[in-house]
Amino acid sequence: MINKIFLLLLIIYFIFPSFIYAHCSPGATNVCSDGTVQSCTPSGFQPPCGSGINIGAAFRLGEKNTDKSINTATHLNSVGNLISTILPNVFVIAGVIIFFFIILGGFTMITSAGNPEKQKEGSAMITGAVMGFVIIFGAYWIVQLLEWILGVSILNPGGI
Amino acid sequence: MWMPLFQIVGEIKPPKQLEKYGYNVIGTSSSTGLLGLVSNIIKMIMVVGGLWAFINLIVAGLTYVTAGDNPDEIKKANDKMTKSLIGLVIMFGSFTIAGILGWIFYGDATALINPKIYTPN
Repeated sequence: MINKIFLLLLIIYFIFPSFIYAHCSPGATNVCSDGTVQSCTPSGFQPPCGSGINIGAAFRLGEKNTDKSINTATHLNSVGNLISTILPNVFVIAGVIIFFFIILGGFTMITSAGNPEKQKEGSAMITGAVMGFVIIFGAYWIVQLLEWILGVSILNPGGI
Repeated sequence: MWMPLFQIVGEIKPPKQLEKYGYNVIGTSSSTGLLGLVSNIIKMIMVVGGLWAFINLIVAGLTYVTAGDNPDEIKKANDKMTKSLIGLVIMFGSFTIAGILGWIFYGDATALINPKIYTPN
């Protein structure tokens, strides 16, 4: 259920902003507030200012955003920047969780009192936690490896 | 249609925690990347394995001393000792084994120890 809701929100998030982008005649140019010039794509799509869609503007359905704290938040103006902002904290949370699970696994093994099933449970807990942590720690590299092997750009899809 | 979809995703920057090994998976001149992490894990396994074998040998020796003329205990101590030593030899010979296997199957002794990544281009 939660998966479906998440998927739906993701689809809406990806599809919806493309409707509120201004349409333009191919070849026309648009000057952003920071001085950069964005030219219209051949398919008639006006690229947003900055490196992605401005969420503050998206929530207001294209209306001019007067909230300066959101408008100037360049670390939240695209999905990639949002992920980049959250990602370091994922490492911290994963570290706390693995610490907790190793303590829990060790405690289960101590209190197994010779019961091999309980002991197995404790060691499985520790193994799973360590494997998960290694995967999380190497996730960025794993995606880079996939990029290398498949020849596609995953981490920076706009920069093809 | 696809153009705007790619553009709104933006770039995902590497997390700060990877600073020690470097953000590039294969490493650069000043960083090691993923291979550095794997090397460190292998080093740690070697050290822990060596300590464990050392403890096992001591325990086996103690069993020998306290066995008296009980053949079961002596056999147990013997087993423990030989298995510890075999494990040590396999562990520290693993690089040689990997080199030989790489030489037999890939025709290159460093194929398994220093793997290459092949890209489509």
